[in-house]
Amino acid sequence: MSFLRSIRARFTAWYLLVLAVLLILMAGGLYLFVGRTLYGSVDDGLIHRAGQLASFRDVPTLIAEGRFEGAVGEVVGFYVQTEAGYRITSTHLVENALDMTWVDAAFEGEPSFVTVTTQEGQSLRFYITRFRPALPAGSPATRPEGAQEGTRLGPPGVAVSETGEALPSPEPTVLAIAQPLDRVMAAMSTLRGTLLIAVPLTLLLSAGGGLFLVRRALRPIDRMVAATREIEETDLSRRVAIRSDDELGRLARTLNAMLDRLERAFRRQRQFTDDASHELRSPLSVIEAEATLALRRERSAEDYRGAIATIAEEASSMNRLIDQLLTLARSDAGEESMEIERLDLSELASETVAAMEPVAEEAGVTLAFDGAASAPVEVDPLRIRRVIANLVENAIRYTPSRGQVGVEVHTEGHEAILSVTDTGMGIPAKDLPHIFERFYRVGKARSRSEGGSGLGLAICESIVETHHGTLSVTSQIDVGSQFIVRLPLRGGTADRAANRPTEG
Amino acid sequence: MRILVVDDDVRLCSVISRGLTEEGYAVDVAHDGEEGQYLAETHAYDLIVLDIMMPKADGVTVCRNLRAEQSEAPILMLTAKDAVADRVVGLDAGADDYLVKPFAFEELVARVRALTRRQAPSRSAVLVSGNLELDTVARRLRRDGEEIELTAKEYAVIEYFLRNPTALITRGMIEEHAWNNDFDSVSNLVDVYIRKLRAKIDIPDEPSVIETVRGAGYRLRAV
Repeated sequence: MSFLRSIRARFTAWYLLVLAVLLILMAGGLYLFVGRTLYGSVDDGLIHRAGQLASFRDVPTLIAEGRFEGAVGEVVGFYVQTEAGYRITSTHLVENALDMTWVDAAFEGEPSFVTVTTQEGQSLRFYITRFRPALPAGSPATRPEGAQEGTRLGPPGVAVSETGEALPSPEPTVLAIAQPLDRVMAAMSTLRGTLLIAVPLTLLLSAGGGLFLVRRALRPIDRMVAATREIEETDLSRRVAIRSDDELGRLARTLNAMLDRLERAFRRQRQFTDDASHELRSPLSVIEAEATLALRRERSAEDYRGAIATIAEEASSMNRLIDQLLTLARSDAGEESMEIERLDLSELASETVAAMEPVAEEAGVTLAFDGAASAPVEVDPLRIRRVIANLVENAIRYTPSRGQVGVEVHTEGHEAILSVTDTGMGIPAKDLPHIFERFYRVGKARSRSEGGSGLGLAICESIVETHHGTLSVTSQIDVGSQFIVRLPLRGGTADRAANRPTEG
Repeated sequence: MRILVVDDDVRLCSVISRGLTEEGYAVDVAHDGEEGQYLAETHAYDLIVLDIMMPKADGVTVCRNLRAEQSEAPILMLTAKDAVADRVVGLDAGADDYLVKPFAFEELVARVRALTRRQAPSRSAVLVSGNLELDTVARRLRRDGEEIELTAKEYAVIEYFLRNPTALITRGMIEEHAWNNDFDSVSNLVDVYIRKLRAKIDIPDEPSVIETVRGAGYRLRAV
C-alpha cells in the first residue's frame, strides 16, 4: 500500500497546506503591523522632536558653536538656502548623506521621511521639513482674531509665513532631523527570526500531531480492512468486530448487516442448489438402477415393459422438475422477462378454473368460481394463470373426493384479491411458515411419489412477488386451507368495477 | 443374508429391493429414518443400505444411533451429495462404505457383497467346506468341481451354512437371514429348503452335509 495514496497522507497534506497558508498570512501580517507601528513611533518621535527644536530660535547657532546637546545618536542639521546653494549647519551630518531632492521638496513645503544608510552601515531615519521656530509669546506676529487667511501681518522687516508664523531669519531653512534605526531594526530582525523558526516548527509539530491523530482515528479502518479481508465467500460467518457509536461503528454495523444478508442469501442459494441436485438425482437414481438391473440378465417381455415404464415415468418427472426450476429461475430474474398486459383478474381466473374442471372431476372434487366484480390488474397473464392453476391443482390434490374447492376474486381498497379455498386435509401449524420454501414438503404423505416437486408454492410466491403482490395462507387440520393472492389494482377503475354487479 | 434398505424414495427402494431379492438376499424396506432405525434395532440384519436425506431422521443420525447401540451390521450409505465433507460425515458416523446416487446396480451389488464378506469369518469370495465350494461372486456351488444348480433361496440358505461352518444354526437364524419380514415363521419352509438342498448336495449313501441337531437345528458336517 502506498503511503502517499493513503487517506492519512492526503488528510495530513491538506491540513498542513491550509495551516501553512494561515500561519504565513498571520506571520506576514504580524510582521507588517509591528514594522509599521515601530517605524510609525520613530516618525512620531521625529515630528515631536522637530516641534521641540522649533521652540528654540537659536538651535542653529548652538549647533554651529558646537554647544548643542541632542539625544543619543541624534542627528540635527539645518539647510539654509543661499545664492550659491545650501549652507549646512549640522551636528555631524554627513554632507552627501541626503539626496538634495528631498531637501528641495522640503523647501517647497513638502516634508518627507527618508531612511538612509550611512557609509558606516548605520541606518538613519530622517525627517526633513521647513524649519519655523515659534515666536515668543505676545509677539505681534500672532494672528489676531478674524484675520484673513493669507494676509501678511507683523512688524516690518519680519517675514511671516503663510500660516502666520514668524520665520527665525530671512533665509529659508530646512531642518533635517534623524534618529538611528538600530533598535527598530534589531526588533524587526528578532521578530523575523522568531517567525522564520516558529512557523516551520509549528507546521512540523502539526504534521506529526496530525499524522498521529489521523492514524489513531483511522486505526479501526485498518482493523476493518483486515477483518473483511479474512471473510471469504465460502465462510461468511465472520463479522467485523468494532463496537463504537461513531461513524466507524456505524460503518462496521452496516458492513455486518450486509454480511448477514449475504450469508442468508448464500445459504439459501446453497440449500437450493443442494435440494435441486438431490431432487434431480432421485429420479436419475431410479432410472439408472432400474435400467442396470433390467440389463443384468435376460428377462421376460413383461419385466422389460415394467422397467421401461418406470424409467419413462421418472424421466417425465425429471422433465417436470427441470421445467419448474427454469420457471423459478426466470421468475427470480424479475420483471425484465415479464410480458405485462392489462386485464381483468376475474376473467383470467374464470378461464383458468374452467380449464381445471376436468382435473377436479377426475378427483371427485367440486370446483366453484365466484368472481362477480371485475378486477383490473397489470400482470403477465401466463404467469398469473400458472399461479392460479398451481393453487387450484394443489387444492384438488389435497382434498378428498366429494370435497370442495372454491376460487373467488374481489377487490379491496387498492388490491385485487384472489382466494383459493379447499375442504382438504389442511396443513399442520408447524409446517405453515415453511410451505413457500423451495423443496419443502409437508410430511411423508406429500412426498415426490405423490406428484409434488416441492417447488409449486415457491414458484407461486416468486411470481406473485415479482408482480408486487403477496401470497398468504391460512389452514386448519381436517377443515381445509385458504391461499390468498393480493395484487395491486391498476388504473383506478376499482369504483366502476365495484358498481358493475348492481348494473348487471 | 438379510438386508434392510432405508430410503424415502419409494421407487428407488422398490428397485433395490427387487434387485437384491433376485440376488438371493432377503430384503426389508423402510421409508424414513425412524422406521429404519426401529427395524434395525429389532432384527439381526447382515447389511443396512441407508439413504442420507430422509424425513424424520436422516441417515447420518440413524447410523450414529445404531453404532451407539453397539449394532455391528455393516452400513452402506446412499447419498445424493458427493462433496467430500458429506462423505466424510457419513463414514465418521460409523458407515462402512458409501455409494453416490445415481449408481449402476452392479456397483450396489458388488459393494453389498464386499461388505457382507467383510463381516463373515472367511473374507474370501470363495467359501470351501469338504468337497463343497461356493463362489459368492458368481453365486455358484460346486461339488468336487461339478456345478450344482440352485434357486436363489437355496443359495441363501447354503451360503449361511458355509459362512458359519462350525455353528449350530437354528431354524430361527435361517429365517432371520434368508427370509424377509413377509415370511410366515409358522410354516415349515426352512425344513422344506433343507430337504431340497440335501437332495441336491448330498452324495447318496453318505452322511448328509447338513446334520440335524435334534431339538435344536442344523449344523454343517465337520470335515
